[in-house]
Amino acid sequence: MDRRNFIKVCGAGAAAIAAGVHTQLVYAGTVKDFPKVKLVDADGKPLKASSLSKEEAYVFGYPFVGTPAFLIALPSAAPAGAALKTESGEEYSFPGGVGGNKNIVAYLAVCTHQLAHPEKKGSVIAYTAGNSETAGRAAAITCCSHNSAFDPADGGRVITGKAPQPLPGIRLEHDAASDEIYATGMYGADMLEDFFKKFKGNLNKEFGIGKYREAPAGTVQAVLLSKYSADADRC
Amino acid sequence: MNENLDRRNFLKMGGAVLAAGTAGCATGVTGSAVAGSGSTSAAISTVDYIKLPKAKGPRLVVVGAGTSGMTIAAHAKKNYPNFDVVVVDKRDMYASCFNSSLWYVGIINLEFLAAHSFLDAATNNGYNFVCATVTGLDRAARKLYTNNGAIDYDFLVLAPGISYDYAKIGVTDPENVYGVSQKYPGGFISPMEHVTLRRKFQEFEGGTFIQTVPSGNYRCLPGPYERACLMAGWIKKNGIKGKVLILDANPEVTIKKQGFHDAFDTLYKGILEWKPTSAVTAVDHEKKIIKTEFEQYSFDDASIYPNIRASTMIEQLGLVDPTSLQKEANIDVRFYNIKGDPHVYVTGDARNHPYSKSANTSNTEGQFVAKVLAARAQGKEIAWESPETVCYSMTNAFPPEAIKVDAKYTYDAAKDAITGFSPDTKTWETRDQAMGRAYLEWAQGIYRDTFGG
Repeated sequence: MDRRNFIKVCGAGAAAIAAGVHTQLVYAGTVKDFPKVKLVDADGKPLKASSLSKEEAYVFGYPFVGTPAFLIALPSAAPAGAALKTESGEEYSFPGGVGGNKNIVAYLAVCTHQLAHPEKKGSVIAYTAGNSETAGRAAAITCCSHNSAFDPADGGRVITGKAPQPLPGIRLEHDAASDEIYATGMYGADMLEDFFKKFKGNLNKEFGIGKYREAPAGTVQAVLLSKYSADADRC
Repeated sequence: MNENLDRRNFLKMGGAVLAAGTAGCATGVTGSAVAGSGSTSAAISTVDYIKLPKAKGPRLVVVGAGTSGMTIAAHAKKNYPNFDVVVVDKRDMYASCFNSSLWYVGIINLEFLAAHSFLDAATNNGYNFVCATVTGLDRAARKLYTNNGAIDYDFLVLAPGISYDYAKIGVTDPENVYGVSQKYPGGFISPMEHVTLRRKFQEFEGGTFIQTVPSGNYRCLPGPYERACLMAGWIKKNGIKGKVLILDANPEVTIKKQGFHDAFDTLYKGILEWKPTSAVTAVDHEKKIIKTEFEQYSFDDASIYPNIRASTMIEQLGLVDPTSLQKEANIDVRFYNIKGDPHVYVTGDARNHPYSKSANTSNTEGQFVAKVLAARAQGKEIAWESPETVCYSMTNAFPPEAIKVDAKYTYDAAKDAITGFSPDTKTWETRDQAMGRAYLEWAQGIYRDTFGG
């Protein structure tokens, strides 16, 4: 990964709360800034926080074209503050949801166990609104491949399974005036290089040679998982 | 003499030279000496060392590049970068045993199973791969012997897998053992068996295909039932006038019984017949007859899965638990080291545990053993963790639909034994296409974990 894109933020806060703009706060050392992009729908129109389909995962390529992320409007607010730890021991805090209801969160849609992720042909990782047998509860992100589950309302914390660390978070920014949503960076585990290494062949095939490493410019389309993948499996 | 072979690895037997291990601990060192001048005999030396890069930290040698060994090799260095890891396997080409039955009916192709290089695994995970066959072990000197020379180790992991035990199904005469194993392979050890079994599927034109299921803790409990379902599906799809007969040594389907019985009864009624408590007692491979205690069955083709035991390597190296019915290794139940020897470990399907002998068990167990080794290399100990067995079975091929189990295990400290499945074990026994898809991704995840970086 291009190290110029990394900023280690030690201390209080990755970004400030500017007038009318709420950026997720992250309180310790795992934040990486990436170019700020606006989330838009398949027609290129800005997604509005208050109009998102509730409890349905959207997929968008961030921070790179070939790295799928989930955007989810949870049923209720996801409060900030949960203490989390990466597999290598780095500690960080969940910055909480954004939007008027503080219920909008985003995570890298790559299982931290063995890197399953949504592909066009199908996805074994998905958000399950109702009860998940694997998670033993509702409102969970499940990976049906080896039965890991994550809590999107708690910073992507592992609920069950062999996943060794929380899902990395995508830092969001919500403009209260326009109700638009932006992605501005990541926090949590740094697993993009590992992901690229293991999927380079597939990613070249799916996105074009080397295109998967390109950053989205200005805007990024977020589409429902049900439209992104031919089949999205829940368990 | 083969001029392509490294001459350092040869001994000219002008004198009596033979690899000798340290008294008391060396076992199984091979080699043959023919004394006397003018001898026309030569033998490969096990005295010289394999020329490896100088170790920069404690050397971990892993024997066996299956799921267990590959997982440990990949994760040991991640957990403790100072490790100098060397993987030894007699094969130079990998093809996975798990998922192989899916190839027989075209759900996956050969690339899915075999396009995984030991070279890439070594490069991606920072270790060295040696293609060699183990010939002996000197635990006092911490030295492993191979047909290409010796390797010193600080830690040794043996993950050699299983061997078939044909005697347990009454097949003892070597002529019969070779006849049965070559014509009607069990299909749970080597890639060549799968090539043969796939051909049998593709060429089956009718009659009775027998799939046997052994007793004991055999490799891949659902595997023979899954294969029978796939064959029955193949017969059904192609309108072949034939049937599958499962001769099961066990009184009940050994795992996911509801899901399998449902497939037997609803998908394959009249095509698949399951006979419980039908342990094979004899096979006549010429006449194509299998005998059980009370019956005798003729077949047109078959996959005869005999009982299994730990790889004969474990016995040859003197590491068998004397109480093990399957000649498995005499290891600490939680930390896998040979009892009394913290430098030698046995993992994977040669372990002496009631764990399912399956890929995901070996993968999750291997991740734990890698942590144990990393801790011990630094003079520490860690707490026991259960392996996890997430295991799919494709009960329908057209379209692919699977069932699943997710099991962990319970350790009883008072007995110092694994006593069974943990209470949170779950099964998903209503077959569906979602699990069929997840089954394929399940395998890809294990390939990524073992061969990827």
